[in-house]
Amino acid sequence: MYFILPLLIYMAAVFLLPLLFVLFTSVVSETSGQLTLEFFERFFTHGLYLRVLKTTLEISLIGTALTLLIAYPIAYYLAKQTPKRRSYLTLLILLPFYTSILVKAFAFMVVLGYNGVVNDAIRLVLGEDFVLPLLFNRFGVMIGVVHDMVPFMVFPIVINLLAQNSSIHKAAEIMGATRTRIFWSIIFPLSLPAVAAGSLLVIIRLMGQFVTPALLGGRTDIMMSNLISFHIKDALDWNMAAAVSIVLLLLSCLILLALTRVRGAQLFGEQPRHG
Amino acid sequence: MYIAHHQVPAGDTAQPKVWLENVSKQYGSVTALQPSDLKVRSGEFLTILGPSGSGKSTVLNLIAGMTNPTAGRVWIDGRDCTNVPPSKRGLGMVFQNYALMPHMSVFENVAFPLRVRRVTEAEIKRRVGEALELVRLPSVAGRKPAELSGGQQQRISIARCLVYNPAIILMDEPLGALDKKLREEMQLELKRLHVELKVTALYVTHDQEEALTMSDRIVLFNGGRIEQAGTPHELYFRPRTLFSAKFLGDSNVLSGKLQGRAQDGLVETPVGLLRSSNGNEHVGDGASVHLMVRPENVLLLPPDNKHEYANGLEAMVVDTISFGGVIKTFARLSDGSTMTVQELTRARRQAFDRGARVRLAWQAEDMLLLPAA
Repeated sequence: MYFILPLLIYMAAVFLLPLLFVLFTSVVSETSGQLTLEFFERFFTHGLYLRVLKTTLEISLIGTALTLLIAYPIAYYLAKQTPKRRSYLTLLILLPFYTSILVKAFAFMVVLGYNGVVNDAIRLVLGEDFVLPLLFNRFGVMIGVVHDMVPFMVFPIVINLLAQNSSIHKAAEIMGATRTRIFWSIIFPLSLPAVAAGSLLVIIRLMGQFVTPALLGGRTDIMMSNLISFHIKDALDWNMAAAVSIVLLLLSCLILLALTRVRGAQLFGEQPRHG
Repeated sequence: MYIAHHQVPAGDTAQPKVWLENVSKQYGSVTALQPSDLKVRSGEFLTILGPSGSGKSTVLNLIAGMTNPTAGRVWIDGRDCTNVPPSKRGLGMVFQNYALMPHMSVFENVAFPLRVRRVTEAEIKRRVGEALELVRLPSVAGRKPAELSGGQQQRISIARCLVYNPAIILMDEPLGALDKKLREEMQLELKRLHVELKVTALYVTHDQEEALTMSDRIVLFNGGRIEQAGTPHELYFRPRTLFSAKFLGDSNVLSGKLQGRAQDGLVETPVGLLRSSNGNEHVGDGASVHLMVRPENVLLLPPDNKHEYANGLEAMVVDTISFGGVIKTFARLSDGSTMTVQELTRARRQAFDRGARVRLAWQAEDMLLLPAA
């Protein structure tokens, strides 16, 4: 196993050590040099921090749910296509995936802004006074993050749907089941592991969202990441930045743990592994 | 084209369970099934036999409704089902890979077709119990399919068919994934269920042994058309074409030209004059023909033996292989071709060494006359 040693050293140097440094900074005051929990105390007693925590959780959970709602039909449609058509359509999903998050955010401003394409169209039809607030609020954030996350949800589900044994669907059809029934009692339950995997990918990424909420959100759409950035760059309070980081990290680990649990135990009971 | 015209007992006047009325299937320029007429009688075990690509899966898909025929009509229980979707045809199907729902218990799998039919919970409980009893697996209701062996899973999928009394049970190579021993066991099990329950079954396989063991009737497919239809006995002992003769069982085939009238069955071959007492309506006077004799009908005699058989040929033993219960001897004829002789193993059987001169003999009634291509 010596060949992974260089990698271990590298990871220890650039990941583990900084992480330990953050942990250290979160419990040792820079001014007094004393071991203290005051920064965590501040986090859990100040309204601002708790509000940001709540916002972060809200955006992550609702964003994941919306992503699932949008991604599942796309995945289902893709799985039904011929391999050739599917690869073209997959490209359409990958294109925004490969585009910089900044570029996308600015593109949304062009489309959704006060003088954007959508509002221009609305004004044209309904008159000068009609304008929809599509940007710099929660709606804008959701549009941005869901658009960002859809590929992470689509691909695990497509792979699952394609791998499903089609003779099970055929058998159900011959037994008299309608398409709706086949979907809800066979296809969907069998796709749940992929839904869980996709949700996991998406929710963890959403917890750390930074650029999109900052650009497309309003004053109150502040995420934990934005808060960390604020403490480092503007407040120069490294202790607080570290404490917020640790809370965010623990929260992510907690969700990861919960979702892997659901994935493993839940859906199928204990399934013996063959071979 | 060749259409089945077997002798049929009075039963044929009854309404067939399934009737493929002159159906054909084209995929673009490829003909998967030439216009064919096929009836499955109520209560019979019919096997569709053929090599891969012979059109047997197409027949199955046409009956199940997975594809629509290019021409012709599909009748099920006297109802024109040509354009009826699979879910409305009232059929049952057993798949090679079992097709059990992995996330449902055995009970829920068997209950599925009943739930689709909105049967009451008490009735579901009773009928699922009965069905599991029938396939002799009453104690696994609470388990998941993955916890069962292949053979058990296939029994469950059969129970899932039996539980809702479909008009006909379609079986698509259902034993193909099982090992030899289990396969033979399941053949008898399927046969037992068929006899007990008098269900109509359509069985698709490429395995001639399976077809001969289980079927009331076999329809042999070749190149997208029906080659021959009949009882296993008819197909084995009275094949009408070279393909049928070679596909079912082992065969020795010789080629020659009819001498005189066809009904006399006298054929001049490179190894000598041979005699058949079986006419063939597809063979005319003086035609080129194939002759076929089964290895188990050929006798291995010492070269000087004065026998009373109509056919006798000089040969030299090339090899002898024992298969346990039977012994196969390969003998070279005077024109260099090889003939196989199959005998039952007996301790005191007269053995012939490699290179020994022998006489092969068989009766005229065991020699079949088949049209040359």
